[in-house]
Amino acid sequence: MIDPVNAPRQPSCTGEKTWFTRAARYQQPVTIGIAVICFCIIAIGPLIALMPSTAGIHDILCRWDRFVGIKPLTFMLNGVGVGFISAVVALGLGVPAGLVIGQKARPFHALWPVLFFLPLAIPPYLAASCWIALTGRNGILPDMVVHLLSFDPGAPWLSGWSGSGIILGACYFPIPLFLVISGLKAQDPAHEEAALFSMTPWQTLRKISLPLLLPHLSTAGLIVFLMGMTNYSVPSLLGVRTMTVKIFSFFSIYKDPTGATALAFPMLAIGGLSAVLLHRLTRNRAFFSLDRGGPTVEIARFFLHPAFRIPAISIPVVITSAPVLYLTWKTGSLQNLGLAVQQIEHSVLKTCVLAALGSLCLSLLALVLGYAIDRLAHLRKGWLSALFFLPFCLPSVLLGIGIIYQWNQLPTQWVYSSSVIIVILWGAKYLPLAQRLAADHMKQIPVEFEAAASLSGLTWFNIAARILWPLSRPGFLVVWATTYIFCISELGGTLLVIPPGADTLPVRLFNMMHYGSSSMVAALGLLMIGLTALPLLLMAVYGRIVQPFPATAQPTRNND
Amino acid sequence: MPATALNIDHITHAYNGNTVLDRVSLKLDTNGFFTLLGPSGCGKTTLLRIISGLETPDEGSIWVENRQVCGNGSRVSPRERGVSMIFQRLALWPHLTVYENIELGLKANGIPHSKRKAVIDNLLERFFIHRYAMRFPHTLSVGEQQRVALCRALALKPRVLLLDEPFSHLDWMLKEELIELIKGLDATVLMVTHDQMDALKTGGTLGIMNDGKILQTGSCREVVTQPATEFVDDYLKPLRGLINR
Repeated sequence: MIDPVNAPRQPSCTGEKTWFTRAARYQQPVTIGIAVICFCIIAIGPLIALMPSTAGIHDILCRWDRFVGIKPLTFMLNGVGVGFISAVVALGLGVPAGLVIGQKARPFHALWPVLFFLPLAIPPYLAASCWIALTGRNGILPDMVVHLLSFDPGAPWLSGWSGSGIILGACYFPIPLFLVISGLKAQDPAHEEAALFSMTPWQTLRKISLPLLLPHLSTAGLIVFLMGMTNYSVPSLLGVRTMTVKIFSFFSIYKDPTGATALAFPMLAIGGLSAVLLHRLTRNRAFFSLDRGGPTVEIARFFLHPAFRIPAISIPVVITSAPVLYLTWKTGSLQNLGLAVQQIEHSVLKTCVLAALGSLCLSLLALVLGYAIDRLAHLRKGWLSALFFLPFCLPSVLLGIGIIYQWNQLPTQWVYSSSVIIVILWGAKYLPLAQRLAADHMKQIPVEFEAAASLSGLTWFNIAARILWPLSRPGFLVVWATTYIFCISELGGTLLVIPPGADTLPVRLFNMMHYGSSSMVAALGLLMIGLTALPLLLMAVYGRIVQPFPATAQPTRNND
Repeated sequence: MPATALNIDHITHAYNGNTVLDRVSLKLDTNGFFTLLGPSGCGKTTLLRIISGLETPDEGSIWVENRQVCGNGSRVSPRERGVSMIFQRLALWPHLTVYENIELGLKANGIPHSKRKAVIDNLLERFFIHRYAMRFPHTLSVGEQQRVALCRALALKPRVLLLDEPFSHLDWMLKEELIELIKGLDATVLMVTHDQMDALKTGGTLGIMNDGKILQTGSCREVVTQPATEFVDDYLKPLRGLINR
């Protein structure tokens, strides 16, 4: 039997330093350091590579008149218009639906999020072609209106920058929807209740409930604005000349990389401004939360009325299901679907594996970065936080050009000529968003958990594996799903960096939209939606098993 | 005979078929300090929420200073009842500064700027938090947050102040300080707690609650020395030595 008094003490208790305890001290800084270096190489590297050489600057200055004036300004305004309209449409559709769904557990409540994730699973260019076929000139709906009401709707309304904005807004409305749900989950009903002692319900809604949701709403609006403004596929399909489309044309069609770089500067400026604005709007408050707050009283009172609830849910449901139904109708039979799979079997498998593994790596990296940003005060500084988010504010086309400059070198040729380059492009574009989501989730894990584990003698790797990972698993799933959805349907930048013979499903689909048969395009579109939605369905089932941990102690500083 | 500030008559309430309040009746004298003591889950907070108007009881009625605020089909909204409440988690609005937290209710009630400022400055001075007026709640210590919550609750001069486990996160010295501050208020106070020592410290009248029923009321000494039921006897054991000392 061991004598507890005279038993030899553990080295860690005696303060004796072994190589293990010494090495354990460096586990956290080394891991964070590696993650930050990876982020800089993947996301910041292309921006640095975009900076023109002295000869490039001279060339730009010689042709200055081509890059300033009315035309570039029009391209810029077109892009801003597309972004603005898409933000308005997305907020208009997503916010009311989010307010209704976020309030109450409804029947099949696990399936609602999957249903409303679906618009994100439909690539915007595919949605655009569906909506044009449904509502454009000679489309199904105008034809019906002409036949039934003998009334000609006139010019097609889904055209130009406003049409692009509407289509993109209809594609991106799940972003505000989920951020509003997340905002409602983070709210403490007591905030409203405290207000009810001195205010009318309407005043409470105006002064307390909605301001508390404001960071979520403004972040959602800004994210959709940026995604709309930097989108390549829809404006290019509708013939709208935005800055993104022009940058692509300069680089890919006119073979003028200097011109493309010159046009990139205004985009960099707008991207930088947006990143700073996002930082100012949210400060260090989380815009994404898996906490379960109670149902908020006043929001429920105003927004659960059937007159609000029915249109708030039914319009997004129609918008979500119309393209899917159209594609199903256009595909015709299962045989056509099988034929489509047979034709591009290799691309399907490759895209799936690449997107799943790529987003897994990016999400793990995002988790470490999110942890670092939340826990290390100097990484949360305003300008650094904005810089970390900047790549997301830029078109993937622009990042693609930067990646080509950065990786198309002799020592890195092996990376550039492999499919890894596609993952790098996805990382450059979506890692900033993923790390932001991860940081928001990390914010909800109290630092005291780590401190307690550390006092119990756990090394940082142990804390990461036993405390942080189990608690951050639900957040990790959300980060992975978000990254997967955006990566699998990414087009603009992929078109530029894709190595020969390694085409992804979106690239095949986009090419087929120009010269393939409509039933084949529809079948491929359905396949694409299925591939994107399948992991989400699995997640919905898994989500019922892995529940987010309950809201713990408020992050309050105790000075007593 | 002292006037009645709060009269609760046969309040019954159930959640999903589980009765949490069973014909609870209570009378509070004007400017008195009543402490309702009971174990967690006995229905104390539900009773406070019903008094404040945040929830509607299944049966029974409530009068605040001879005005029926609930019962017989009528229900007065929380802001018209003349009651105020300090929540267990304080519920300070995170997007507003300390000053704005106190000001918002006054503003909503149409109190002019100059008067508002005077009221807020007076409260901040009285509770020694005037230095933090422009700070956000999350930058304050728990004790300071507690004072802000108290200022906010008192700004509109409520007739009845409800306290839901207000001292659960405070150290002993801070508790004593706040209890003294609350005792000096010109309002009827109803405090619920599960902590026997807190109940003893407040003095005033004590009520013991269990399983949705009020088992006994009286002065602290009376309830501790002459328990009416076996539960009260067991529950107040920790206080017996202190009372006899």
